[in-house]
Amino acid sequence: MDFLASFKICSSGLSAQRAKMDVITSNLANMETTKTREGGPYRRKKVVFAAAPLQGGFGGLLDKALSQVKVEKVVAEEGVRLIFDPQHPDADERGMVAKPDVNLMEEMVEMLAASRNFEACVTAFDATKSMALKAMDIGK
Amino acid sequence: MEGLFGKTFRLLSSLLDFYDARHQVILSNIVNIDTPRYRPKEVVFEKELAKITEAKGITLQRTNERHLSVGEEKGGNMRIIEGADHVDIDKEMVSLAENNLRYNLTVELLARKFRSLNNLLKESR
Repeated sequence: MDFLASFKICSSGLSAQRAKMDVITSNLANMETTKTREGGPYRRKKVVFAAAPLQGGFGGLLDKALSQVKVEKVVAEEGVRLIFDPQHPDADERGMVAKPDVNLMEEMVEMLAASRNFEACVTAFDATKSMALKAMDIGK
Repeated sequence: MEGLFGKTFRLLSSLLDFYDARHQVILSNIVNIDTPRYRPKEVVFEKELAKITEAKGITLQRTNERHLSVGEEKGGNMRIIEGADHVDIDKEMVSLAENNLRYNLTVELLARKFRSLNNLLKESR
């Protein structure tokens, strides 16, 4: 059994979900950030995953079907939330402050989903491990 | 050697290969749950079994003419089909658990086969 390929697929899933979690926490932490190095308020980031073919296969039928996952890109959304707050140092001449368009509920839901997907990958990893250990029982 | 490590061994080890392939396909479905436009894949079993049983000449006795026979279908290769347009995580986790149990069962059968050979050799000394 090619356990290495299985482990590679599992670990790609784990790191992808972890990257997604990083981006979500960055969105949550910067919910009120009005200044960034690029100028303007913080832009909400979104992770886009892509299926990547498994490297180093033997070119068989299975190689076409197997794919690990990778983070293709992190896109920054354009939208901002304008809030009337004339006292704010970053307010424009109309007294409007541009704040990041981060929806707390949306981020929490995404976070839960990422967490559950991570757990699914862990379960899959456990199953792979138990199969590898079981295969060693053959000669016993 | 053929008598000692015969059809059962070969059938069981090809089954292990098959479950391994299926496991890997399920894994790639699970990790790609969030990938846009990813279509889940599935390894089809019947044809592969048909091929194995046909090649090894394993047949089942039919006691009733309405029974299905094993290995009658001229099977092609192990086939991978594409499923629905999104990954159903419940389905995948169930297949993962099921496949895991089947793999363990096959390993157990193989191990018992070896153990019985071992017993035979030990007792006949």
